[in-house]
Amino acid sequence: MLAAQKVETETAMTARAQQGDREAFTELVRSHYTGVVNVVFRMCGDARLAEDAAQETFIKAWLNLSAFRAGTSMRSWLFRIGINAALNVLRRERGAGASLESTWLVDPAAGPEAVLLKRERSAAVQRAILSLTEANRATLVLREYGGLSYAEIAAALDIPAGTVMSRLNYARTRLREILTPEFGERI
Amino acid sequence: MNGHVLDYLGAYLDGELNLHRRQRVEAHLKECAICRSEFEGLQQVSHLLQTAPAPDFLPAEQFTGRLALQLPRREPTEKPAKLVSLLWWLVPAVLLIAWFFIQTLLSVNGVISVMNQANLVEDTARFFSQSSSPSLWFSTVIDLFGSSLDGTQISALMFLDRLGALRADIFGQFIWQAAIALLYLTWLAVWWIRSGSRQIKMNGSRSLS
Repeated sequence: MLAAQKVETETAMTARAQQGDREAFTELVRSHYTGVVNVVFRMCGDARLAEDAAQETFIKAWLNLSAFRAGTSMRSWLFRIGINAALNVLRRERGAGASLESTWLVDPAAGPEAVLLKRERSAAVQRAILSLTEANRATLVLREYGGLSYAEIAAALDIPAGTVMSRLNYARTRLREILTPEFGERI
Repeated sequence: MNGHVLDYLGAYLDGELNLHRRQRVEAHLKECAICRSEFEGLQQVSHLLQTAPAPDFLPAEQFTGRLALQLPRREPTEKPAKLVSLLWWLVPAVLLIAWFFIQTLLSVNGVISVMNQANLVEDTARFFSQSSSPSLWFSTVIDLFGSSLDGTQISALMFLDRLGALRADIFGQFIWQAAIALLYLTWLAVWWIRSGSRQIKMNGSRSLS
């Protein structure tokens, strides 16, 4: 019931935003920001770049809102734009010669050992994700961090559902190979 | 199940298998240590991915505030433009249909008039046939002077009455068709001017790029 109400509210807000209502669009941004920024972060591996990509995502969404088809998933649509925005930001940054690993690893406020361990683990996971090809990474990120179903991923990336399954299998197997030496029996 | 189910383990983990295949995978996992070990490995990878902490991003309120300042002005929605485009093509279609309808109506009217004059149809057909009913001036003259007129004079008056009705018919048809043709030509002229200006715009933008 609550989910149905939420969908209805989102549909109404989307319709208002499509008519140019900035307040309604801001509401949409507020409700999708966390999901989008998480997905783009996992795609590009850097918090600052992720915020830039998230901003680019919502600006593109605002400009192309008339292309959004009513009855489809706003979340999937935003993720699709987000994936492309993250890859664009990443290419621009790499073109400028910045090192993403350093932006991730350098922490001027190094805390207690537990925090460091968490950060180390997070950095290792992120490095492993970034080692995947863009296509496999996008599929994995949409599943693990976007929480999309195979059908939604297939629609968002414009690929067959069978390809989603094979890409996920490949990506998970590859991550296991990369992360096992770092985490030993913990994985 | 004879072979391993390695290809389906990921989809099984994600809850994406249909009931039949899920039951087969579950039955196989109970018997096969290799697939079970592989499945546990997948679960651990998935758990590791989902529990890996993310950095602290800007809070949603701060982000939306910043974004609001960056949002560019958007062109009005395309819906009215689509409506105009639809109307644009609807105009000639409606004109052609109207012309066809009037033309058919007048032709039927003419045929019925002829049939009526030849006494081939009953009075019900008079409804469609204006020329068969006498005009007001003819009725008035007959009422006032009918008794003093001879047969030749009445025939002459009837001839004039028919001629007047015929002229009115021809004039009416001409007005209708001229109005439709004028509207159609106006539409054609506007279309030509619009497409010409669009072509100029396109050429202009190409030369800029």
